[in-house]
Amino acid sequence: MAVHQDITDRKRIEDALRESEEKFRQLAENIQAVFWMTDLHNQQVLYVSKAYETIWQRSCQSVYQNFSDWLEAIYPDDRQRVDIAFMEQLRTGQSDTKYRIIRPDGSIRWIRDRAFPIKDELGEIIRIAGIAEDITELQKVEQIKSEFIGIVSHELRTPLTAIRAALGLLNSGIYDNKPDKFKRMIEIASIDSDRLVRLVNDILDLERLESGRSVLEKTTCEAADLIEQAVESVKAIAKQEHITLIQHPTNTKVWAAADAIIQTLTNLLSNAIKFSPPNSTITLSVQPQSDRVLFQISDRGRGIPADKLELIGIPADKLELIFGRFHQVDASDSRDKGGTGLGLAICRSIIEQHGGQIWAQSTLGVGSTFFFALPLPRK
Amino acid sequence: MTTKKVLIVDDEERIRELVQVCLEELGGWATLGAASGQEALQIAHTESIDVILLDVSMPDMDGFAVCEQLQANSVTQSIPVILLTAKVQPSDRARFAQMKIAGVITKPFEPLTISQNVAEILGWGD
Repeated sequence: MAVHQDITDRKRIEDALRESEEKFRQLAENIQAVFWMTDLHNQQVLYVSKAYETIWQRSCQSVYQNFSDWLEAIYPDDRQRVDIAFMEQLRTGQSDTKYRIIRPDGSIRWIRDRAFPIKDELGEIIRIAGIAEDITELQKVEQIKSEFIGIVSHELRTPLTAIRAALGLLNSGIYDNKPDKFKRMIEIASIDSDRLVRLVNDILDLERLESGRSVLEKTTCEAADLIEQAVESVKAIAKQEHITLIQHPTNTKVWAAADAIIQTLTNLLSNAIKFSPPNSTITLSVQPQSDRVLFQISDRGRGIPADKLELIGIPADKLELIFGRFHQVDASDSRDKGGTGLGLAICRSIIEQHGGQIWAQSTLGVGSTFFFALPLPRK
Repeated sequence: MTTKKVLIVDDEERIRELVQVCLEELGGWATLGAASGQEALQIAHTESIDVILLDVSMPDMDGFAVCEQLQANSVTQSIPVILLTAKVQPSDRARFAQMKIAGVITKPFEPLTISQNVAEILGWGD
């Protein structure tokens, strides 16, 4: 009787252990992170999960057989960082490192690798276990954020430069008895304060749009109404610059957030006006097509160089183009004309949230046409 | 001693105007303004310039390109260049360190001391 009981107990324990190992194995094999385990002095990899093959694009077998294979995949500049992590592990069993790897196809990924000690009953570290994750996308976001902050810092400094200089000069008293010059300093401080306000608002607008906090409520709108309202808001400037606005609206309905599209049209119109020579015309038109409504704004300005042009048309899931290089398309060109440099980025963000596209064509010295397409209203 | 002549290069009209005021009224120097790299190169070739205050972020031709062009020409390569720029990040500074320039003044600059700063960078004694 006793023997039978023993065997049953043992079998139960074995089953439980097998079940537990099976659960661990399923978890480890299915998660997108690499679970690994090495002996204390990192000479031998005891376990590495299947995800290694996806992330490193090398076989698990290769790591078991030859640890230096893994070491060689590390991006040379980051090798020192990894060596330091190893030393940490020898000391405390723990480390938290970010490093790049080079995959067989030449692509580079950022890895975050965290190690934990496994101790025996005496509290001695006998093994190191860890999780390695592909954080490439996260790193991209971090890079975009810091690029964005760099750009914002730069753009804010420019109007601040004028404000600081103008007020500093006034404060020094050199113009106390020169009312005209005094007034000019105040005028400058005033113009650049306004610019600073517009800049801050645009930055916040853009950030809200991109972060998804600004949800655009769409309804069925008359395209002609949207155009009319945008034209209204730029009429005065157009007149001042002796630029004629010609409209070719049609009776088309479109599925859109009215205010946002008016903002887009106003932005594009303002840009067109800024870069158009006096006494030229800007043409706006709307064309219903089979599956979308196409808006067009054409100017006779100096045109946009090809390398900047193609940045406008690139799909906007490339965030770096919104905040980074894309911004440079607009920034330096429109800054001197009182723009904030973020106008196009905002347009793009709005159009993207409508499920539409925005692009441009241009011939240097002749002019440019900006296009955007919006979906038709739902039936 | 003839008074110094400073060429100020910046696409922003109001900033050019303000720098010119600071250097003329508080530094006692003569100034010329250029709104673009092209204009700057033209002036540097035809006028006798003692120092160029150069903005970096300009459309069409940026400060880096202007510097290259100045260096490439025997007439202009000896004119000292001081960058007057809003670019302040470490990567920018690293790039500036590679250039043949006399110094960097960051924007926003201090209007009452900018002429002193320029004189210090260039070792122009009193």
